[in-house]
Amino acid sequence: MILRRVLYGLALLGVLLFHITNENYLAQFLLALCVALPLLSLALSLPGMLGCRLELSAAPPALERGGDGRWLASVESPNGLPLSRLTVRLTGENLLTGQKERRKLVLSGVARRRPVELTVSAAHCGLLELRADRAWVYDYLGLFSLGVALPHPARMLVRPIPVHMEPPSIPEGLGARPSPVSAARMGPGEECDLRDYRPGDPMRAVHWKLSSKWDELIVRERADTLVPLPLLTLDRFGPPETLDRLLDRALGMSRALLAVQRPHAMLWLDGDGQPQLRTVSDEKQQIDCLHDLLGSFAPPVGPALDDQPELLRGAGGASFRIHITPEGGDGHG
Amino acid sequence: MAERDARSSPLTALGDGILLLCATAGFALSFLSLYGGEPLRQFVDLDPTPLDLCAGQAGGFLFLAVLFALISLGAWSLPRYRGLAAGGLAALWGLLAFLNWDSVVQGGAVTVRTVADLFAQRVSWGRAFPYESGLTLAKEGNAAGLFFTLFLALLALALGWAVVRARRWWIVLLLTLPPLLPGLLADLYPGWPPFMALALCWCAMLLCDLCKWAAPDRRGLLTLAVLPCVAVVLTAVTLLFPREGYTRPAWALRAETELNGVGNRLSDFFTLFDGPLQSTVTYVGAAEEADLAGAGPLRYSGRTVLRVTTDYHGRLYLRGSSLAVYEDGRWSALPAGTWQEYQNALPDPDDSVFPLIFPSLTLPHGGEYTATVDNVGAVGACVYAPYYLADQDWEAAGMLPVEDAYLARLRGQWTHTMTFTDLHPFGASITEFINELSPLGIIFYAPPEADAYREEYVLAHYLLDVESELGQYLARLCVESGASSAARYGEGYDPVQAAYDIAALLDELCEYDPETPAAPDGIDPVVWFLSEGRRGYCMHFASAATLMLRSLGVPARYVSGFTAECVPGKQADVPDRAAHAWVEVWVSGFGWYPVEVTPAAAFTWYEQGVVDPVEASSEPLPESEAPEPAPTPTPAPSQGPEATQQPTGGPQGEDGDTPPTEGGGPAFTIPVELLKGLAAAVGVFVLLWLVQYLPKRFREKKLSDPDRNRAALYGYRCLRRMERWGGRVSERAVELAQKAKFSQHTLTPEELAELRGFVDGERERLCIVLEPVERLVFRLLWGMPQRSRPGEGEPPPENPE
Repeated sequence: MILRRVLYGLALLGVLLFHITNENYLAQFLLALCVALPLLSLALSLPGMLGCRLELSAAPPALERGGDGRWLASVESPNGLPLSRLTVRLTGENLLTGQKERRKLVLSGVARRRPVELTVSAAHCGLLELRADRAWVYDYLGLFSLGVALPHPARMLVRPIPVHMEPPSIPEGLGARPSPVSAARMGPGEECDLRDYRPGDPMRAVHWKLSSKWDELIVRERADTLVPLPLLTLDRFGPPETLDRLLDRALGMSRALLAVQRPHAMLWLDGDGQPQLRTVSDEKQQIDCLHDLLGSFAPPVGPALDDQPELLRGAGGASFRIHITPEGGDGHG
Repeated sequence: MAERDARSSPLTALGDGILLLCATAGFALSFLSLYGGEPLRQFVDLDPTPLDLCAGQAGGFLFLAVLFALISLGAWSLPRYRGLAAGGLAALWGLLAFLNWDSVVQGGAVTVRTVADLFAQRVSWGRAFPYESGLTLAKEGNAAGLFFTLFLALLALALGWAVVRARRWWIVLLLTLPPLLPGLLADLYPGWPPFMALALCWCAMLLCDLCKWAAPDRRGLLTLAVLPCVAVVLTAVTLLFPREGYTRPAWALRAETELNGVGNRLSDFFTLFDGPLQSTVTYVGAAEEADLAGAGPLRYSGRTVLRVTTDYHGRLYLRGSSLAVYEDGRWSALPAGTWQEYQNALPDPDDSVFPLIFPSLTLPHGGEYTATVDNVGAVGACVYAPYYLADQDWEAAGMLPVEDAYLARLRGQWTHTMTFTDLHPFGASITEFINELSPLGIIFYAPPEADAYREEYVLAHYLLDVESELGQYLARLCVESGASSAARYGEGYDPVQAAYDIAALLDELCEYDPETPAAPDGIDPVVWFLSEGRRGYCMHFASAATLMLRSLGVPARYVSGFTAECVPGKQADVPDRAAHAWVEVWVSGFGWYPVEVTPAAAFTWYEQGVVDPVEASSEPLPESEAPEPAPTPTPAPSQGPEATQQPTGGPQGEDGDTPPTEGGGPAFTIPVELLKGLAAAVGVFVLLWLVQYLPKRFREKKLSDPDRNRAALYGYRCLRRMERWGGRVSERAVELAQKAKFSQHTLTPEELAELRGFVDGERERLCIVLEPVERLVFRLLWGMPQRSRPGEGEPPPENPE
């Protein structure tokens, strides 16, 4: 558009000089037309410029590393007339690795929601985010521009590819799952926690009264039976390739534990060195945990969990720790 | 719903059809009305042409244009086999052209000839197209009609491609504008409705240009929405700025004067003051050359070229330069070295006198005057000086005598104050002056240099070879017309009287006409002027008179300059239309004597009040001072006795600094200083922008190099360069750069992106941590950091050291 503005400026200057140096009526007509046309262009374009909407989305919202994903950008014009040109400065960022990619999207003649596809580099795990830093739309002559309301960022989860792993044997008393208890077995004064039903829970643990009231199965478990869960720890730093291998193994171990009905917890340090602990009891929690795990920055170099032993002593006492490393040979104990 | 093909949308076809009809029919009728038809006759004086006959059939051509446009639209809108259909139409066109080849060629030549003739008649540098078909006008009209029909068919096919397929407005402009350009440049007007239809197509396509690849129905919708809006704008512009009664606005005239002055001053950087005059413009003002052969109709803009302030009252002839050599219809200066050769032959070359001051050395003096001439837009590198210059310190006055021809401006000197002498309080002409004073025993002072100059230089270079064809023709003409006799111009000839006689003869023979076209090729323009053309303006009259005087043995030369009507205490703005040419004859004992040989009709613009606002800023010339209407004898180019009367009308300023006003109100002046300031600000802004933008683009390009290793190394160099600003280079960046430099493997895109991240991150960091002044310079050189939205931007990855 810079070229168009320069060309218009030159044309206006040329017509002005023509008018100044020539007594022909055509010179005046050209000058008047040269001034009127941009105004007409602005008047025609303004409704569309003011009312256009830009949306960003991801398809699919989650995929495995190396998968084929697309960003989708769609624009809608309010009056049906096509927009002359919409330019969007986009930043794609892997929130895990911090890799950024800036690109410019130029859409010409768009009038209705017809998404434009942009490629996604899903080479590394992480939560990818595409956000519009700036968007503006031009009039039909490309001389005037107007900012467009920025859309919500689109996010795409690039999951690790889980490595097949065998769950470790956990000694008795460590990492035991809290046992659901029936109401009949609960003595007076005993406290219990309520939670959603999980497959494998005994039917006698179901709190039928609450379940009928809430229309979903609720089970109770004795609070004093809580024991520390198996703890998956990982040092979440390093270059992207290292992180990929680490996360592949972490997800593989988590799935292996879930496969044997073994809830567990995951512990890591975020980019600021703050500990992050997530409990994984089912797939939904696993996905939530992945979002948290992949959605914050992992520095190339960071503190190791072994340097902070106090973090490994949970409130419930010693737990069974499974330390995940990129190269395997995970430590137990 | 899947997008349908662009050509299959009814809305698109409708929009394209209207555009194509506007373009084809608008062009056809614009062309015919521009170069033929009755309305054209109000602008040109031309015999009926073949295109007049075509213009008489405008309805038929309109029908053909619509037909061709529809056929073209159909062919190019076909969902498939478009190329085949267009090729078939082209083949059919070729067959028709082949079958009528002779007529088509004749029609084309006749059309080109008509256009060229019109152009040549209106534009000085235009040339006629010499073609004789040998056909009658009716047959030429038929041939031109056939040619135009075939041309229109081919144009419609090309326009169909440009509108329907290429959808580019500039192609339509390139196809339709060039045939109209000669007429438009010659200040002719096409029929306004068809021209507006053509402009409608141009403007609508321009407005839809950015959406030309939009979904077809939307594009059609846009075209249909834009067309009426553009039509309304064109109509509004036409109504708001009507052609009838159009006069150029005063601001445009003033702006032209200012621009011309600025341009002249800029050109001063590229010219040398003591070299030959640089301008080669065939302008009636002073120039190095005067091309009589190419001199067509006079065109003036009315802009001011000189501003004169003087205590003299009356018309001043401001002499630019004189030209001595006439060859091939062109006046030019004497060959370089001629003057130097003459100077070297003098006994004492250092004691030479500038020949233009010889008259002022004559006694007694009539009166001393001062004139300040400000060159605000006159061409040439000479000083426009009044007659008769007194001897003065030329260099201190910002000028330098060049040979015997002119005063050259010193570089950067645009305002010159000169002292001059008026020798005519005693009579209207030098002859009377001499005759009146000689019996009283008053001896003229004739410096010895004047005699030497006459003998060695004037007689050698300012006479005509009477043996030449031109010399014989002119001498014969003089004798036949009675303007010459051997007794009269024998030994004691009177050169001034001879000049007056020649002026009278020319006035009798020829007519003053500023619209005189250029002389045909192959004939001397002076001969053409005297024998067949019999009309011309000051260049023709002065050229003919100079050569005729030379053929009679009177040394004479061609002079160009300006005339100015001066009133003491008032600034006279001299417009370009005051450019003039006259003759100087050599009078022994006196020097070069200027003679007006152009009829008084040349000065009617002074009287007619056709004074545009620029000229109106000068003091209006009282009627009593108007030039003598009777051209014989032509008044001497100095103040006549009647012109010494004080003006009786018009406001008189109390002092000479009173600014001229128009109609009593304040005169509009372009705020030049403001414009300069704005221009400077814009220039600085553009420069700063370029300083920032170009390196940024360069960096982006280098960092996006397809050779990722090279891009990475460049990124590393950027990091190194940022070190002098306090930037840091991380080990990882060094590692990546080493890999790019020494490894046999190419960096992955991710690695390159990582390195780019280091560069961007460091740049953003430095933009935050640097001191304000350093930050400003850094931002200027390295560009502004990308804006990030609050709360969303992650901090740039810190590069651990």
